[in-house]
Amino acid sequence: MSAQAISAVKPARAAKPAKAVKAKKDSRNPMDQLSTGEKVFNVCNTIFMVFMAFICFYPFWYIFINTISNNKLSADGKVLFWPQGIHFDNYKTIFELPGIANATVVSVLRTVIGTVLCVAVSAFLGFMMTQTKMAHRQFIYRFFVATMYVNAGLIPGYILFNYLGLLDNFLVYVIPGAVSAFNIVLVKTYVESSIPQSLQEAAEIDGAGTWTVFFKIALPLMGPILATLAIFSAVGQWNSFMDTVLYITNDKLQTLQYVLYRYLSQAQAMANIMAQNGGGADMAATGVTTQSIKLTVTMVTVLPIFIVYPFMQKYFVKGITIGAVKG
Amino acid sequence: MNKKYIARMSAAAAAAAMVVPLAACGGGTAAGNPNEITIFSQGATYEGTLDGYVGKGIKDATGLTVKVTPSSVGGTDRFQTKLTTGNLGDLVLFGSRDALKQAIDAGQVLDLNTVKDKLPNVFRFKDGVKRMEKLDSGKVYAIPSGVAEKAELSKGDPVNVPAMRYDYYKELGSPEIKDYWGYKDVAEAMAKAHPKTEKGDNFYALSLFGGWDGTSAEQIRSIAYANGWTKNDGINGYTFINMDPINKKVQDLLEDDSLYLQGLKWANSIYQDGMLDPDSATQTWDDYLKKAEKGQSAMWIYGYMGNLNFNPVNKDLTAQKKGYERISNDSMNVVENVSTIGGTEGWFWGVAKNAKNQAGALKFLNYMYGDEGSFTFENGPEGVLWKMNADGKPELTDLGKGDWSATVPDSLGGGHVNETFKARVNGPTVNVNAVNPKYNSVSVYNQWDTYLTDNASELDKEWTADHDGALNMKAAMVKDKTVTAFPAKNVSQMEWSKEDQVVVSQVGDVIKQYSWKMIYAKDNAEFDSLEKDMVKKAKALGYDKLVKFETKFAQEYFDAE
Amino acid sequence: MEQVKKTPRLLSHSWRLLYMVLPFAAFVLVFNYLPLLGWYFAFVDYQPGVAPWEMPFVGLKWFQSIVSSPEQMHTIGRVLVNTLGMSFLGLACSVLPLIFAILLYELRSSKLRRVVQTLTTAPNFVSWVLVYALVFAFLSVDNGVVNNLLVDWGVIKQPINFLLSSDHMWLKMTALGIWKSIGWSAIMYLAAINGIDQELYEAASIDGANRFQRAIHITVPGLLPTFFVLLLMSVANIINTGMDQYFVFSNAMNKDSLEVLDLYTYNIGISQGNFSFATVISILKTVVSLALLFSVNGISKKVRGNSIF
Repeated sequence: MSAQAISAVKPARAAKPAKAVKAKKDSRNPMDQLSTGEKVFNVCNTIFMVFMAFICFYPFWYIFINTISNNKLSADGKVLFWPQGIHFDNYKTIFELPGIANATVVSVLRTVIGTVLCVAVSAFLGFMMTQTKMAHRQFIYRFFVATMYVNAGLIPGYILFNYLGLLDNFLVYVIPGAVSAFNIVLVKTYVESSIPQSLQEAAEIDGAGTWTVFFKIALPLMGPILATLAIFSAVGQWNSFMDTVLYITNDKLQTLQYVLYRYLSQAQAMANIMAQNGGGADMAATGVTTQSIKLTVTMVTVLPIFIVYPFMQKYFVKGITIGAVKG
Repeated sequence: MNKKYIARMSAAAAAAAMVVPLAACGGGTAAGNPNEITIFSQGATYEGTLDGYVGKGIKDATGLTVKVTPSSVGGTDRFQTKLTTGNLGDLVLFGSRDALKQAIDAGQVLDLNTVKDKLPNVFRFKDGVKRMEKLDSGKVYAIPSGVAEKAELSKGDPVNVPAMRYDYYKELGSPEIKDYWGYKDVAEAMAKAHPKTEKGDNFYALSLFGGWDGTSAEQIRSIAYANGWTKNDGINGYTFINMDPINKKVQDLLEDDSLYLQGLKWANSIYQDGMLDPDSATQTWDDYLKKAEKGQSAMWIYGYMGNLNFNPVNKDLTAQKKGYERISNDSMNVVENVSTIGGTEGWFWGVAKNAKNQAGALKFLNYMYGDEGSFTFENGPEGVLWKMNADGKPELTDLGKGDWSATVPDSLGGGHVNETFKARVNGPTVNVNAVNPKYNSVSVYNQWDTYLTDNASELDKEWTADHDGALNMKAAMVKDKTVTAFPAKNVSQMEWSKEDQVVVSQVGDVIKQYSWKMIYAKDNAEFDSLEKDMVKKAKALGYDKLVKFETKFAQEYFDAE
Repeated sequence: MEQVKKTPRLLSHSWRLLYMVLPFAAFVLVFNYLPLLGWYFAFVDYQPGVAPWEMPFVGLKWFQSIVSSPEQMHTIGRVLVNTLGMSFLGLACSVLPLIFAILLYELRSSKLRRVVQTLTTAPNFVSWVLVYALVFAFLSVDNGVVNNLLVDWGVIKQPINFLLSSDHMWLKMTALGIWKSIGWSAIMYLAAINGIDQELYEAASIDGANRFQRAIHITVPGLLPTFFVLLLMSVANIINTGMDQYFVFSNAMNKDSLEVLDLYTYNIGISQGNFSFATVISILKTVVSLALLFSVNGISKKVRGNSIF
């Protein structure tokens, strides 16, 4: 049986030396002429997609132009499509916040380390959960899956972290989230539907152990799903903010999000004091307002994601061809 | 590819292993420094060391560097988790009696009686101390914020004397306003005559805000505070009743013909006339403030929205005698709590039992309850934003008069003007409205005569001329005797049981929601049926029991001497 | 096969596989299950900083406090209807990201594809508070851009109070939710599409299948496992809607049709720092979610022949 499976894969492997990447493009551009129906579809689809891109991106654009426009015009709701009275004082204010450089380093570190850790663990456990031979596999799998829904609340977790010495410790950012049931489920599903069992069986007949199968066969084929998890996990880490509030007091370990949100609450409190006492001087065109801070904080946190994300996409366009795997 | 991947992963893990101990070390140095204290504040949004001119002032006076940890950041409160591990810093500013009580139950606050000799400035506020002793069977676990040696009326304008467009008011011939409901005709006449503001925005008779409402439509409820009622007896804040401390009366929000229900009717009639800002129920505070700055409402229920928010950003108009001023009515009657025992906000200062630097904490607390320390709360140390003038009165320096976000020269300590102790830590130690014996003045600068005179615009001057030379509304009211002081008394602290607290939120939710629906009712029939529903639902949830509970405490206040 | 017979059972291959994941199971036990001891707090009056055994034991008091009066039952009923209603709408729309991913994949220009893929994730990163601020800027009556345009163009005479009215609240909230998440959720399907063996497409092309047929017969079946797994997980989550979105959009007028369970519990308990009450809610939600998860899993086993978990 397994021999048959191997032979099903082998001819393809032999037939395609290095064209795997190109093959995909070919499959999307068949030689034959486009039918009228397809042409119509292409036009409609393109229009629809551009429309979607517009309604999704416009608010973001709106935020962006309002962060670099005259804050007074912006506060009056006059900045809609193009920036007016461009200035960068909002960003300057944010980048001059004390501790922001250190916080950025902490944020980058937790994002990188947390993501690598989480993706590695998810890849391994997701793969292991596909190993039907494992004793009590179903129980273990459910044991993991249920963690998505069990919720003990804030305080017990805090007490636990205190016992484990995780309070005021960088590890609290990356350790508790390392085993993610959601990710395990996704990896398992992906492996089951995209990587034929026959590959593993063939390798095992050749004498490969579980580790070898994982590293040599499964891992190389998991590219797209791992890229997805990496994006999810990285964004989660980057945006995470509650854990700093609850578990960290050491200002060296504060994250970028934390510093920004704290500054935002400070600015709002200040605005309220001013509202009740009379702020005094007229607002300068570039003077920051709570609204301008809110918008700028959003930009500062989202822009890095937007800059990194397109690079991640290259892992998406490389559709896989099972036959191309040298396994 | 995979080997590289592993190599990269292990490199990252190694990097992590290196970072962790390093980072963990960073914080360790602060522990036990005898010249540094940490304040855990439930009233702060700032975090970090108090630096700049305020930090310098404190350092000069006490030799201490003060760090601040806010209890809540971005809407997440860490008071309970900190309490769980006993990590409240050295000094604690509690935001409520409930929080203080939790800390006492957890055994984490020091009985100040045991260190009485180190706190002469705190213990001179005998009434405040007595109040705490009564609460906790003889122990003084904390001292209330805002204590005073002598109870006096403040000089600040009451929030609930409305502000209106004063130029439009004069345009209408300064009509006499019989009672609060009379503002409606005046405001509507203004909006009819001026459908747009000078800058072309819509101009409504009234704009409301409900974003912070807890258990009722707060702005509507506050109308009662311009009619001799209050929701706070100085110790206890009431949720479902208003009290009249002078005539010893109680009115619950939902009783027949209560001022609250009349207020809803009044606001609804403005809505039915099409004169209410339609965004009243949906706008955020930022939007509302923006409207105030643009002057889009003829009348502001919270008066400061007008004269303190529109006027300062429209100096071109106030110079032409255009803008907002407080306008009283013939039935205006404000009662004001005057207190020696502090704590109308429910704030308390305490010292953590396991403080790393107890001596420093006590020293700082004593300083802040002294004449000099308490005066710096609002305005920082003498010589930066303010100085004493030749008449022996405090006045603002040029720096103090200028832009709030201006930088302070390094020679004075640096930082920004707006980084006051109040803005960064909060929790006034001594009542900011009490006259400070050392400076012979209250500490809030916008009540100083020097400030009111120097800062008056053409509009303000006109208003003052029309009011027999009174510098602000409060001064006029004192003269007219439309403001009456009532003392805070050492009564029991009202504490809801946890179960009742749930009911309070549920009832409050119903009242709040229906109130706004009533404000937006299409016609009187809809208004009446909503009112009936509201009362029925609130009572079904247990409203009467809550009112009875609160009334008991109000009665104790009335009976106390 | 003969090997297995010789080694003792606990050292067999299948047990060795188990040992490889046991450390992670232990990790989960500590980090996810051990804190469940804190469920005890639901049966006492919680006091922070006090030893658990010193807190007064109150039995089921907090559970009963949820349903103590008929009025309260009525409120909870309404809240549950909202929660389930909007969750079901959300579930019904959960196929949209899948369709979106397929359409995106069918774009002929890979440059455009990448651009669209990036831009459509943008709303995911805008917080709900800010979404409300933007919606208000566009839809408010006083100065909303959309209202101004509609009035200027003569489409409407009077500005419409979109935010205040409670009409079609569920639809509005669901539509906003889709707008915010569609590009982001599509990422998972894009990964799955890329996991489909390209040779299948080639083989189909050779057999003369057109694009539409290839999408229906290859892409869609390739995505179904992911779709079902995600669907199952969201079914188990139907009462966990989160509250941010509903919190910022709720006002007195629309609250009756917008208040969901998470917002309700926030309003009446957690905002007061009542931790015992909050724990009761966690327990109930956990029980409901797990019950849903395993019953839907059972149904899937019956209907589709294989269980997912």
